[in-house]
Parts: sequence; C-alpha cells; structure tokens
Amino acid sequence: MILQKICLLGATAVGKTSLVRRFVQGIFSDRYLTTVGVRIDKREVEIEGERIQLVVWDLSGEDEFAQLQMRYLRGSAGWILVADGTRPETLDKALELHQRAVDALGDRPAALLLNKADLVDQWRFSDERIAKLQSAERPVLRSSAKTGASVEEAFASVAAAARSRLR
Amino acid sequence: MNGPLSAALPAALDLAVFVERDDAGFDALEPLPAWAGAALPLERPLRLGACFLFLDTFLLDAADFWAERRPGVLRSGPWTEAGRDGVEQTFEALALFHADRRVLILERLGEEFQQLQQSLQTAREAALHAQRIGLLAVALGARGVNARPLGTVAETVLLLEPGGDYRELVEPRPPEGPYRLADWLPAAAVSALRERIGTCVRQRRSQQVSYTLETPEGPRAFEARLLPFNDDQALAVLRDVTQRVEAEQELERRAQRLRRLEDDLALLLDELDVGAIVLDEEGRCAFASQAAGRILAAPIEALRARPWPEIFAESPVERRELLAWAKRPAAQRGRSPLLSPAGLHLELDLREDPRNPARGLLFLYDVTEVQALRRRLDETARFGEIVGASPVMGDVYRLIEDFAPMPTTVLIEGETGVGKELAARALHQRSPRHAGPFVAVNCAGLPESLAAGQLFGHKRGAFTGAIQDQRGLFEAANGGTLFLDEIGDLPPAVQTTLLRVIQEREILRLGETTPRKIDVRLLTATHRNLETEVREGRFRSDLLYRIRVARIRVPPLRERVGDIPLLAAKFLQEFRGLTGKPLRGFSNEVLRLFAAHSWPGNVRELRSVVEYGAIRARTAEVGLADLPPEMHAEAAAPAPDPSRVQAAPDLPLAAAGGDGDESERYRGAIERAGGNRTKAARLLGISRATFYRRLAQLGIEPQQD
Repeated sequence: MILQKICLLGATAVGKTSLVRRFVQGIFSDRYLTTVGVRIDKREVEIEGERIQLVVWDLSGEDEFAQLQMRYLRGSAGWILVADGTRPETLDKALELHQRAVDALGDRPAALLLNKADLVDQWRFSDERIAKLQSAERPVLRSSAKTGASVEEAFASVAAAARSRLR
Repeated sequence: MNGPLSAALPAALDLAVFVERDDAGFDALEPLPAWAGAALPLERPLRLGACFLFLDTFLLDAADFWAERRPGVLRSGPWTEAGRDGVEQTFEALALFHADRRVLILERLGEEFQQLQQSLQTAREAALHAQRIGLLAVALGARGVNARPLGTVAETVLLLEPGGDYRELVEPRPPEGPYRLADWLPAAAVSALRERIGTCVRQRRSQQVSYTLETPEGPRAFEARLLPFNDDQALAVLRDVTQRVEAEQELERRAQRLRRLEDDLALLLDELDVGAIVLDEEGRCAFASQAAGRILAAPIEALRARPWPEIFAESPVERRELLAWAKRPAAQRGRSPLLSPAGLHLELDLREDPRNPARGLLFLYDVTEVQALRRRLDETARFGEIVGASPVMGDVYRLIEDFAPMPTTVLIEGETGVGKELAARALHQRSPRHAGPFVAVNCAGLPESLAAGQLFGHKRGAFTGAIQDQRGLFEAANGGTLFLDEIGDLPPAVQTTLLRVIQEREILRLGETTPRKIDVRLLTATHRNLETEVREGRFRSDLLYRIRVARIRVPPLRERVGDIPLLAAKFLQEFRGLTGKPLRGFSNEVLRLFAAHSWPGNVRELRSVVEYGAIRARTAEVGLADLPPEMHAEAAAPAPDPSRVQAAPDLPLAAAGGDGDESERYRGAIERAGGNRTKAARLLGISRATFYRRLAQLGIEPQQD
C-alpha cells in the first residue's frame, strides 16, 4: 500500500489536532490540549480507486514557546496549512510556515484551511482577503473540526494532488 | 541479574537500545523494557522505521548524523504514536555513534514530559488569553521594548531565572531580556518570587505570589503565578487583579455588613422575645434562633430538621389543626395561640419566605406578659363574677360599690338570666359582712305552706312532720346576707311576716313565742314589675317600700351587646376545661350572629349556646355549624329588626327550646348508638365524661352498655 505523509502546519491553538482527530477518529472535543513535538496518526483512504495509507503528522504549533522543526517535514507528500478564522495573525503564521517549508524542502501540494468555521460570526477575515488567497495549487477551505466541514475534502485534495504529482 | 551489567543497565533505566545493522535493520539490546517488547514487532532484525512511522523520518536525520560521525547525541524531540500493541505513547529517540556502531535509543517519556506539557499548555493559554484581550500587544507596543514597569500591563508572561532576572515573552517576537525584577518590583515581592522560583522548579509545583505596585493612578494589586518550565526556570503569569481584589474586598465588606445585620436582627429578635424559625421546602426546621430555643425551652439543635407541627403540638389532633391553620390564606390566617410546655402563652405567626415561597418563616411571640396584662384588663371588665365592660354595666358596678358598705336593703331588678344573683353576691362580697354567710333563696320555688317555715324556722311539733327544731334561712344567714330572689313570687302571708322581720330585726320560729334577734342584711331581686304587682294587689306596698330602699337594675344582654364577646370568651374558657378540647375562639360569623341575636334568655342563654357550640366544635374555633339549630335559622334569616329585638318577650331559656333541642340530640345519639354510651358520646363528638355530665344535667337516663 502506498504511504503518504501529510503534515499539518500552523500557529498554536488553531485546531490542527482537532482536525486530525475529526479526520482519523471522527470525534471532536472542545478541550484544548497543546501538542508537544509531533503526534502521528494513520488513516487509510481511497483516492481515485487506489488505497492509500495517510500518515498524518500533527506538528506542534509555532509560537513564542516552540519553533517548527523543519526536519519533521522531510519525506512529506503534502501539507495542510491551518489558520484560526477568529485570529487573523494565525493566517500570517500559516503563510509564513508554508513559505519556510517551501524554502527548505521545495514545493508540495498543500491546502489552506481557515478553521473554526462554526464560529464564523467571530471571524476576522474579509472575503476579499480570502479570495486573494485562493489558487489552483493551494485551495482555501473553510473548515470546522467541530462540524467536520471540509475536513475530508482537505485531506483528500492534498492526497490526490500528491498522488498525481508522483505519477 | 543474569546478563552482563552493560546489557541489563538500559532496561533498568527503562530505555530500549538498538544497534543499526548494515542492512538497515536493527538489533535490539536484550532485554528490552516491557513497553518496548509490547510496542515492537517480534521479527528480527527490527525495521524500526516501519514500526514507528516517526522514526522513518528521524532515521533520515540519524543517517546523516551517523555518516558524519558527529560527537554527541541527536535528539528527535518528543513524538506521540501508537505501536504494535495499539497503545499510544510518547517517546523520544536519541541517535549516537558509539564504539563504531550506530546506536539508537528509545526513551518512553513519562511524568516529566506531562509536566512540561502542562507548563507549556498553561503558558500558551495565558498567551492566548492575553492575545484575546489585546492588552499585551497594546501595552508592550505603547511602552516600547524596555519601558518599565511591567506592572501597568494587565497580563504578562515572563520566563524567570532563579536569580530574579527574567525575559519577556513578547508575541510575536522571541523572548526579550534579560531584565531585572528588582528594577520595578518592590523588594519584598522580588524576594518572595526568588524564593518561590526555587520551590516551583524543585518541586515541579505551581506557586503564587501577590504584590502591590504604586502607579500614578494609585496602588494596584497583582498576582504572579509561577509554573515550572525546566530545571531552573519558571514561567510567571502576572495578572493585574486589582478589580478582582476590590470586588473581593467589597464582597467582604458587604458580608460583614450582612453579618452585622444578622447579628443585630438576632439580637433584636432575642430582645423582643421573638423566636424565628426558618422552614425548608419540606416544612422542617432549617434554622432556629436563640430566642426560639429559649421560648420553647429546647436546645436549638433538637429543633433542627423536625417537622414544624411536631415542634409545637404533641397530639395528632393539635398538629392537624396547626396544619389546617397554616393552609389558610395568609390574610385570613392570623396568629395561632399556643401554650408552651413551660406554661408560656405563645402566638405563632407564619409567613412565606419572600425569597422562596416554598419555604416558610415562623415567628414565635411570647405573649405571657401580654396575657397577664390582658387578664388584668379582663379583671377590670369584671366585677366579682359579673363580666361586662359596657357603660351600662359600669353604672351597675358603681351602684354596687355605693350600696355594698351600707346595711341597706337592696332590690335588684332585671330580666331572667341577666345575673341578678351575681350582683347580689358582689354586694355581699364588698360589704363588711363578706366574711359571713351568703344565703340565696328563690322565692318562686317555695311552696306557700312551707315558705314561712323555710325562712323563719320552726319548733318541733309546730306542724305535722316537724319532728325536730329547725332554724330557718334567716338564722342561717345570721351575720351575713340573705338574698331573696324572685321576691315578687313570695306568698302574701309570708310577705307580711317578712315585713315585720325587716322592721323588727327579729324572727319568730313557727311554734315558738319568743322572737330571736337576727343580724342579716336582706337583698332581694325580681324580674317582675313590683309596682304593677302592688297595683294588682299581689304584692304589699309597704313591703315594696321597705325592700326598695336602694335599687339596682341589671340591664338585659341586648342592651350591652359589647359585652357579648367577653362573656362568650369566659364561657368558652370554662367549657374548654370541661370538654378537654383546645378551643381557642369563635369564627367571625358566630360573633356577628351573637351581636345580632336578641338574647331573650340573656346571659344564661348565651352560656347555654356557647356550651352547645363547645361540645359540637370539631376544630379549635367554634363555627356557625356548631351552634344550636335555632341559631342556624336566625343566621339564615334576614337581619333582625332592632325594634322587634327590644320588644322580645322575656322567655326563659327552656321555653326558647335550648335544652329541649339538646335533649333530643342526646336521645337521638343514644338511639343511633344502640344504647352504647361510649359510641353515643363519639357520635356527638364529645368525651364520655362530658356526655355523662350533660346527661345528668338534662335529666336523661341512659341505657346500660
């Protein structure tokens, strides 16, 4: 079976671990538990009729207390960039991390998740800014680990793009 | 230990040690710790990159590290992953080159990692909170990197060194500093923080220090919460808690005021002898004041949790009555009188708890003193055994006071049942003769043939049946008072003798020839108009003038309606003792009916009605339904015409049907009970003793049980 390593990148407390739990276990918890280092999970998916084992790397968010270790990204097939819709500064952080990853490892298929869509009334992104972020190489999705919105699509799109890239 | 020391040591340290083979597989240094045995596959050589997917990436770094034969150790950093056994655990991998071998060590992270995670979590939560309130960035941006003091910032996160230096954790910039706490913190706070940093990192436990900073706006309270970060550094989350402290102080001030108010209230209740009992939703005592305990002569603890009717009443009947009282609408409830076991007169008041209508507040008033005053007031409303506070009775009392000391003969006039004999007794009691006998005779009951003998006595053989000397009533009253009631019914022959006795102050026994001196004060009474009797020749005029030296008219009850409640209460008190019932009073309807009734039988009729009601009453209050049937009819009839009431015939009670109806009821009850007296008494709702007593009064002979 093909293995694909997909890393989640983003600032602290944007909901990376919650997205992974929703994707792998189908559950959600409101309780915030910070990730230290890396958490590895697996889930088998079918992409265009092909079984793929996704190995999901949930990386500790970068903040004043911890910096992203770029070496964790080695061997990854794609990245999911996560920002918290209620905290605009986390979008800057996600974009910054993406740029650093590209600089270190070259481009990879990626998706940008504007997370916490269930709190959209507290969002502080303008539609214009979101529209500008859209590109064919890096789709922008409004996700919610709480409701499950766009979670499957995000992983599927990155996995599919990564698989296409290898063919 | 069986193996060589070098092989056994890693397992003892809970470490799993592997050596990379040339084929990229790994040999494990046996024995492996139990967790590693469970998490790793059984086949050898081990493919560690396949066992733990994290290692698949880390081994790329390790390969570079080994290839360069760098000194030291390459650490992977912590990662969390499930092994073959499916148990998710956190590990750290260390790569090192040792004795020409590529060594990989796996360490399972435990408590220390969790503490680190907790510290980081706390710090991140604090930072997130600071971000959310926007104060950190605003404050830091406003004052510049090196501006002081930090105390003006509502919330700040610092990394503290053991010596008291610190670095600011300024988002999004890397930590800045070091700075010195002593530059802006009071010495006492710095000292406390230094001390606590050591405790915090050594014991891996959070610490807290409170301090105050003087600012241009005045003193502000701060709180520093220390969290262990590593072996010598602690995170400090500094918070401006001025508002909270002020709120707490205000709360404490209010609590103190409340406590003072409670104390004052309790003191006031105690001083006023008002007991307070708070009832919970189930009607049990949740709180009892000191005064309540004192009034009830019971320890407060003994009152708590008890259903309230049990506190105040011993018998189930009394408890039911109290509950019935409590269920009445508040406006109609009034206070319930009680007698405490210690003999105190109490009044119970029940209110809803305004904060929770399901709860109740009971107030207990000790009215013993009030009752005593009431009794004294009652006494002023009495004259001897006469009850009445009306102005017309006041006139009667004054006449009695005036005539009592004199030897004068007094004629007492009034309708049947107004209490003429009571007036006579009062005259006697207040006279200088009060120590002597008071002899009362109803002249209407004296047969003409015997009247003279009864009054004046006779000698043995004076007439047939006079078998021995007999002194008369005048002699019996010698030194005291003789009261001749219904003197208008005295036979004419006797009237003549009486006139002579009054004039001569001596009597002559029948059959004797020598008169005997007597010292008797004569009081007389009649319901008749003696002047009419004189005119019609039935009463001697000269006797009338002799006995009517002084006159007292006792008014009928209808002329002193205001006395009816007093009289009724007095009679009810008597019957309370006789019936053994906890009778407390009359319903308002009954009192209204009493006031409207013409009372042809006067006080005697009222007494009889009250007795009937007391016997019939099922509750502590005599109601309309408890009164005799003729009163029911009157209650249902239109209000009586006052002029007709005044003109009501002067009928004796028996003629009004009082006792007659009662006799019928008693006979009916005995008949329904099949002659069983106990059952008959129960049917009438009275005790057996009362039943017997009343039977005797009514002259009814019961059948045997």
